[in-house]
Amino acid sequence: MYGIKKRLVMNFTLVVFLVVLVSGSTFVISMRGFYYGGAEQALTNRVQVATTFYNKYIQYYNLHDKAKYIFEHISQDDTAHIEVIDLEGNVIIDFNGFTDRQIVKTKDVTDALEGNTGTWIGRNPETGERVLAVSDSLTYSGTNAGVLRYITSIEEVDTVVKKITLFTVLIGSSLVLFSLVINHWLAKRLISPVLELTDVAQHMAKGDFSHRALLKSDDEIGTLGEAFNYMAGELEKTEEMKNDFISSVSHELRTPLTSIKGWSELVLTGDMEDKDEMKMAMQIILKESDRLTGLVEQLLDFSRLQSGRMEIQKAELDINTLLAEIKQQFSARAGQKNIKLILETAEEPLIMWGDENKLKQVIINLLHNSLKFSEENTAITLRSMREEDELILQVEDQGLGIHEEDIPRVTDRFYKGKHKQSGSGIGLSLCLEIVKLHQGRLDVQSEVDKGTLMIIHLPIGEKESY
Amino acid sequence: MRDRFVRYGMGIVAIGLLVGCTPVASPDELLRSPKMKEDEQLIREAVLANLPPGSTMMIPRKKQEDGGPIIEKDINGDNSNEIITLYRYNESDYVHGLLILEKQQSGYKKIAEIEGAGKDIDFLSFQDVSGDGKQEVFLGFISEDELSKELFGYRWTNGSLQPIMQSTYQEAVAGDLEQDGKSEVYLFQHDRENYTAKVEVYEFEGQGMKRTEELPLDGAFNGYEKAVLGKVAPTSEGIYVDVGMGAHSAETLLFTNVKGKLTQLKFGEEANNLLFKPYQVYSEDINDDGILEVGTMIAPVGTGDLSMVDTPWVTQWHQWDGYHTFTKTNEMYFDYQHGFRFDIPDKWKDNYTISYVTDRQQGSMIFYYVNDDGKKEGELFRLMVMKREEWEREEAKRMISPTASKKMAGGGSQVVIALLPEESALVDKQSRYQELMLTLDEIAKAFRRIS
Repeated sequence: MYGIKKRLVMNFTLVVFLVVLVSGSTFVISMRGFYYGGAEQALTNRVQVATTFYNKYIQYYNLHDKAKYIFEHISQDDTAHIEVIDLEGNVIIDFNGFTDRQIVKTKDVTDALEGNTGTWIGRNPETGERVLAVSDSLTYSGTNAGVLRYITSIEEVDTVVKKITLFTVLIGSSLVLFSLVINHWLAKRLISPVLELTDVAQHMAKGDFSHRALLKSDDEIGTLGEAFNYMAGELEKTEEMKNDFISSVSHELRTPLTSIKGWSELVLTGDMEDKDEMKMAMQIILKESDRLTGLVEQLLDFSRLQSGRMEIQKAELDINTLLAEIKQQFSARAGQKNIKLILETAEEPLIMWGDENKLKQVIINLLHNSLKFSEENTAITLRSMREEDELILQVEDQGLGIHEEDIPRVTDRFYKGKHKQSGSGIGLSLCLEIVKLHQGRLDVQSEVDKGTLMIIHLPIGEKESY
Repeated sequence: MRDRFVRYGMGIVAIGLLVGCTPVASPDELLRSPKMKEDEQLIREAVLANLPPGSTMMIPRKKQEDGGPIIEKDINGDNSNEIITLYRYNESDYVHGLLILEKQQSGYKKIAEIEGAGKDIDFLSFQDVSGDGKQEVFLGFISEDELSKELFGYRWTNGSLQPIMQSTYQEAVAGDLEQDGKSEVYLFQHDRENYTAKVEVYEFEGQGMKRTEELPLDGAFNGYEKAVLGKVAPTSEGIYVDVGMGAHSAETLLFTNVKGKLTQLKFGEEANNLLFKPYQVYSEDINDDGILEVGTMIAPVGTGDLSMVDTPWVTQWHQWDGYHTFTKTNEMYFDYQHGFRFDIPDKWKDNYTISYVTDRQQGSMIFYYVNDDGKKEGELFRLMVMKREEWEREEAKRMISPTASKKMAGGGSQVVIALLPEESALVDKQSRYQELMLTLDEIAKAFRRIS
C-alpha cells in the first residue's frame, strides 16, 4: 500500500547517503593527508635543513665528531627527538643522553642509507607510542657516512584525526537521518493526494459521486485531482440525467398506456352498441398507440445512434417542399393551441442531398418543442434560405425561451432543463446527431420569455460526395 | 515518530559539535617529543634540573667506551650507579663541568660538581686506581689546540669528591698494565722545542696519585696522535702510541710492563719496518679479536717507482706475538677521500697491484692480477667514483652491464661502482688468474664505507 512512499524515501535517502559518504570520505582522506602529510613535511624540512648544513660544513668530520658537533650545536626542542646512526644502524648518539646502542633498521633509516629522505610511521618498541621518524643521510665526501634521524610522537595528531573523523561520521550520519525524516515528510506530502484520489475513486466505484479530492497543489497531481473532480462532476450529472430520463420515459410511457387501458376497459364494460362512443375510444387508443410507437421509435433511433448503427439514406430533396408538408401536417395541432404557423421559404427551390425522413424528423422535433413551450396566440415561423453552399433552416417561436446557462446543454442526452414539461430529453440530442450525420450544425439562440431560434446549417452536398 | 527522529538528530548534531569544536591545531603544532622509558625520563629530568643555568650536556672529544653524555657508574662504592654527565656553557665561556647525581629515596640528588677551564673536554675515564672497587674519575681538558692538555683526577673520599691528581699532558691513557687490580695513569709528555719526550707513570699512594716512574723517549717526532692501552698480544697488556714524524710519516711505539717497569720494546729491522710507515695509521683492534693490531702501509707490487702521492698505498695490520715477531692479520685498501675501504682477500696475497686511472669520470682504481714475476697479467676489477646523476644516467642507458657492475656506496652526490672486466678478457688466461677473480657479491662484502 505504501510502496511508492517507501521507494521514494529509500531512493532519496540512498542518494543523500551516497553524497554524504563520498564527500565525507573525501574530506576525511584529505584531512588525514593534511595532518600526517603536514607533520611529515614539518619534520622533513627540519631534517633536510640540518643535513644540508652539516653535509656542507662538517662533511669531513668523522661520524663521532659529527655526532658531537650536532649534539652540542643543534637546537633541541620538545617537538622531536634526534639520533645519529651509523651505517650499520647503531645509534651513535641518542639526544636524550642515553647510550642504548640498539640497532635501528626501520624504513626511514634504510631509505636514508640509500641516500633518500626516509619516513616511517610505527610504534616505538620500547614505549609502544606511535611515532613518526624522518631520516636523512649525513655524508662524507659525497657518499653516505651516517644518518640523522628525527623522531616525533604523533599520538596528538592521531587524537585530532580521530576526533575529526568521528565528528565527520556523526555529522554525516545525522545528515542521513535528517534527510530520512525530511524525505519521509516529502514523500508523504507527495503521496497523500494520490491516496485521496484513490479513496475518491473507490467511493465512485461504489456509486457515490459526492466525494471530491482536496486540491492542495497546482502541480501535475493537482491537475490530475482537478480532472478527477471534473470527471466526478460529469459522472454525477450524467447519473442525474439518467435518473431523470428513466423517470420521464416511464412517465411518457405510462400516460398513453393509462389512456389505452382506461378506454379499453370502458369498451369492454360499456355498451357495445354505442357505435359513436366505441369509435371515439378506438380512435383514442389508436392515437395513444401511435404516441407510444413514436416514443419507442425515438428510443430505438437514440439507441442506434449510441451504438453507431444509424444510417442515413441520402437522396435529392427539396427543403421547401419538406417544410410545406410539415406545415400542412401541424397546422391543425397549432390551430388547437391558437398558434399561428408561418412558412417563409426561399423563392427558389432548395435542392440538397439528404435523408428526407431523418431531416423531417429533425424539423418535426424542433417544431414539437416550439409548440410545447409556446403560449396561446403566438406564432411559430419555419424559415429556409440559401447562403452560398449552405441551406439554412430556422424554427423560431415566441415561447418560454431557454436560460442562458442551459443553452450549451440543451443538445446533451437526457438533458431536460428545469421545466415541468414531459419529454425524454433525447429529442434535441437526436436532432444534433442527425444534423452532424449530414455534416451540418445546429445553433441555438434563445432569450427567456421572448422565444427561441433554432438554426440548422446543412451543406447542399453532392451526389459524388455521398 | 517524526518528533523522535528530530530529537535524536538534534542530539547527535549537538554531541558532534561538542566533540569537534575544540580548537583545531595545525599539524606541526601537534608534534611532541616521543615518550622515553620511565626510568630514563626520570634521570633526564634530574640531570636537566641539576645542570647549572645556561649549560648543556656534552660529549668528550675522544670516542668514549660509555658513549652518550649520561653515564652510569658507581663512584662512591655503594654498589649502586651514580649518574654522571659532562656539561658545557657557550663556547666563548671556556668552562666545562662534570655533574654527579646519586639516586636517593626522594629522587636523584646532586652529590658533586666539578668545573674546569678549557676549550673542550678531551676524555672522561673511570678507573679504579686504589683497588677498592670504587671508580675514580679522570678528566682531560683541552685548553687550546696544540697546547698541553690538563688532567684532573678525583676520588670519592669521606662523602665528597676530592682531587687526587692534576698534571699537564700531551697524550694520556689509563689502565691496569701491571695487572695488579689497580689502574695506573700514563702521561706522555713531549717538548717540541727541545725534542725531548717521556712517559710518566702515576699510581695511587696514600691520598693521591704519585709519579712512580719516568721513562725517557726519543723526542725526535712531531707529536703524539693516539695512545691506546689494551691487549697487544695474546698474553700481554701494552700501550701502542702512534706519533707523527716529518711531513707525513709516522711511527708506532709499543710499551709493556716488564718486571714491574714500563718498558719501550725494540725490535729487529723487519719488525721495525712495520712500525715505521709513510703515512699515519692508528693502532686499533681491526679484526675484533680483542687484541690490538698495529697498522702499516706498503706500496703494491710494481709501484715502487711512483711518487708518494701517486702510490696506491695498501694498509696492512699486524699483531704482535708477545716475543719478536708480528703476523699480518688484515690487508686493506683505504680511500679516505671517498670514504671507503676494500678488504684485500687472503687469496690475492702478493699477486695483485692497484693503479689509479683518471678519466672522464671522477676517477677509478683498478685491481690487477700480478704473476709471481711481478708482471701485470689482467684486470681483477675496478672501483669507479662518479657523480650520482651520471651513474643513474648510464645505468638507465644500460651503458654499464648490470651483471658486471654494482653500486658499492652512494647516498650523497657520489656513488662508488664496482666493475668487472669483460668476460672476453678472461679467455686463455691462466687458471691462477681465474682463481683470484671475485664476484660482485664478494666485492660488496669486502667493501666497507668508513665514517
